[in-house]
Amino acid sequence: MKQERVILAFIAVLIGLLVAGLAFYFYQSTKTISSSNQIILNAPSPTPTPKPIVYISLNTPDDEIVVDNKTLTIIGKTNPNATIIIYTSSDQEAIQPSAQGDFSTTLTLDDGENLIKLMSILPTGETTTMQRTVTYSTEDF
Amino acid sequence: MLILFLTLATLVLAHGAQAASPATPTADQALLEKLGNEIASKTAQLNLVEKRGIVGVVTDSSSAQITLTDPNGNTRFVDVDELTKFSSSTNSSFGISDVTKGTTLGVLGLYNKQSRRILARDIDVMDTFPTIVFGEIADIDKTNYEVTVIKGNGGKTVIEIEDITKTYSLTAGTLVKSGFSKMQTTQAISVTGFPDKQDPNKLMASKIIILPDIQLSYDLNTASPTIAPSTGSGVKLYPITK
Repeated sequence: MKQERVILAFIAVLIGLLVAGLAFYFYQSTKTISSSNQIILNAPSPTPTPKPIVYISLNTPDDEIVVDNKTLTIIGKTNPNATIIIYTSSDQEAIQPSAQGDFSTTLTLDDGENLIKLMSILPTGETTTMQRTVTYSTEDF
Repeated sequence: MLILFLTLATLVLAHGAQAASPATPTADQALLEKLGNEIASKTAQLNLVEKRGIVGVVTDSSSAQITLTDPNGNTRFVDVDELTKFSSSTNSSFGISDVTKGTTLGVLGLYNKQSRRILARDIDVMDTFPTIVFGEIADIDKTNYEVTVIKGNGGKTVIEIEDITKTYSLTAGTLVKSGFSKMQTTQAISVTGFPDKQDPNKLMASKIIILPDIQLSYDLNTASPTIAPSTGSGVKLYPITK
């Protein structure tokens, strides 16, 4: 008996909600707004963020890596028409990437920590830089 | 009816829990469990710590810790213990007490990914990284073997060409030996060298690469002179002029 009452109450609430929803829907659909009250909003389109023209990314080496080989290979990608200059504590070298923008070169590391800076330069003069710290050590700890 | 259902559910759950609980562990099981835990702990520890080498400028130091600013501008904390070895090319007895603010150190040690601290095993004083100047040749002084370079920020640097200066030109993707006489105004050049001790506005070039294919087109007329470096006390250093 008690259970039946609960079920009936639940069904009644559902029917009530349905009727109220329908009434609200019909009220909204019949409502009209006069043209004098209408405002046309012309939202300005957002200014797109300018993409950086020159870029450089490195596949290897990772930053702060410790290696046990004095010969370090640098592999990366930049704009195809860019010039890359690689600066170390003892030298600077200039290379040019392939037609796809890929580049690869080798360096001889000094003992301990080596700071390597790379600069990519477009023919128009735009530049971007990147740096890596690579440590040469054979010490085991 | 509801009470009956709840009672039944409680009884079923209690029985299930009893069945799932393990029997009293034997000595072998306890040992296996202990070993498993130790292996898991060691694996986690190994994954958490890795060898790393960093470079930074000292901002603070104490007997057990050094604070550095790395080339990316991040603050790095270095822990020092009795196993940490110190070295310097100019001071054979270099130790933690000799570490002063502004010194560039190279640190090799164990980096903890969780605490983001490095436990130093080797600390050495780094040699000064050469000054890099990239810009356009604004003026060539053939009498004093000097080249004035205008940089992207408008600053000017005078490059002193020494006997030891190596000059190259990047032609068709390869570096070709070049010289002072082949330099021309408006050419882009990359210079590495060290500041002249007598005139900090001048750079003694160790290597120059001329980049004829790059057109920088900096405005040579609006270039401002390079600002003299600060001494840190607010006083600027200027060369003595007679």
